[in-house]
Amino acid sequence: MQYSHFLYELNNYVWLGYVLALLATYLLNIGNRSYYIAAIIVVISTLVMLVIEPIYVSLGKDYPWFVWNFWYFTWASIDILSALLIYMQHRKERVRFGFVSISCIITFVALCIVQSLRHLDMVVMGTNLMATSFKVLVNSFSIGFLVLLLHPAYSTIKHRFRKVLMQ
Amino acid sequence: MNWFMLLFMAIYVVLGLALVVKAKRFNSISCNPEPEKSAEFNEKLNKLACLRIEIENMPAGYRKVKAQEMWLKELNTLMASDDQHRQPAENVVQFRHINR
Repeated sequence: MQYSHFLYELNNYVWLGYVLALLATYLLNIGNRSYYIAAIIVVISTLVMLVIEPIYVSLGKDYPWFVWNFWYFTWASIDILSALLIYMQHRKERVRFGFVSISCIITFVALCIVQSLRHLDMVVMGTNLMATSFKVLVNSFSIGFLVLLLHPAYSTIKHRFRKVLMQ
Repeated sequence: MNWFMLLFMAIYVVLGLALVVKAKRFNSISCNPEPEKSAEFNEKLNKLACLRIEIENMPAGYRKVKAQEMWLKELNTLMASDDQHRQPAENVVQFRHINR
């Protein structure tokens, strides 16, 4: 199985990982306000994308022109909206951006750039040069989100492990 | 149509990069936590630091003067609540100096 194909399949289960990571962080009480803002927005935006995708696929049969033009634009819009929401919520609550939240904003912006380049490559130019790299990049970013959402868990484990070693 | 969408996406990218820069700047204006103080104290101090930048960015006028007065009052209340900060803090003096 090719790496890009493997990641594409894995992506469907990654969202569940987001929810579990958020739940574990909440139940263990190891997250801060900044983390929860970013994590909730990541979970909701990914869910929105997962819900929209099959609708778009079914629409593709009747309205291929619409899907062809709006496919990458929709994902880019959701990405940028998510980054904007994280930023605005921090400003509203006057909360300092934590490592996870700032990384999530950067990842959303990077995803938006990838979607824009793909739109240029596939829809505008019709060259399809990014066929494999697009799949790898998008799915790597999805797994990157999971790693970020698990950050409080493994930093706590590291901290406790160090504490035990020091004693 | 395709180019039109691409233009929109280019605006998104610019907006996104601006967001990253603004978020970094927002973090740099927040004060560093004082380890010897409580988390609650640091949180309030941090909120005041962020508020201060917002006030500085406000257009000159009655609202700005009132906001500055409120800010100083809140900072003095916070400092007075802590035994080690009974005297007006140095940054209060700095803020007054900036506004003159």
